[in-house]
Amino acid sequence: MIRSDRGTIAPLIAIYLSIILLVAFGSVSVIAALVASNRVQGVADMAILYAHDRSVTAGIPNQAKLSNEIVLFLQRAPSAQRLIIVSAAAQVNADTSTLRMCARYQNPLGIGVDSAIICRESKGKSFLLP
Amino acid sequence: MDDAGSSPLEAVALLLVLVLPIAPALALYQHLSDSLAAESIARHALRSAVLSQEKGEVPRQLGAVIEPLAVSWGKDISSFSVSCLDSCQAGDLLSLRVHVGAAWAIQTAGLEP
Repeated sequence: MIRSDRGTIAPLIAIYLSIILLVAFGSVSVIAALVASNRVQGVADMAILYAHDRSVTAGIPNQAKLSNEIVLFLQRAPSAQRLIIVSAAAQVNADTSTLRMCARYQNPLGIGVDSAIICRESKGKSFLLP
Repeated sequence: MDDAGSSPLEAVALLLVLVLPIAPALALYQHLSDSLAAESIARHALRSAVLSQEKGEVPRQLGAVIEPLAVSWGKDISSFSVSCLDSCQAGDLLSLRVHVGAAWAIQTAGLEP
């Protein structure tokens, strides 16, 4: 027996298309977040190393100097220019300096959309070389 | 209600609509992959170069550091440049800008004070 089907496959295609777009947007967002978090982590790492180097005396960093140097680095470093720094908190615990920085990465996709606020932490520590 | 038309034609037309977004999506993935590689290469190359130098000295052989990093990412470096914020003296800020395809990344580190 031959049956005749009538109708349109448009709803099916529309669902496929929406699934493809959802997957594409989702994966692009994840990768863009990875790029942005790498940048924030990189700037935080370099900032704590820079500030720790300049604030340490006899292996112990000075809290006030550490904070000042971090602010100086974040203001001057070209790598920090594409970040909107939301907060940067420096802390000293014995011989270890810690920076917790939260920032937005401006326009990671090149389409005028900033990333969400990303927080990263970096630590610096002095070692005595034998 | 009576429907008339060609189902194969409709399928082909709509499949085209499905396939067309793939090209820009692939280009976007490529750009993001290049960005990720550029960020990582710039960060690790700069840190490695600064650490391998004497106090306050500006690294000269950055290509030798960057090349293995680029190979590990499976990318070709379009270009890279090093610049100092002031006079490239001890304590200055040194920046490395790396281009991979259309993407670029910049990292900055302090020279030993």
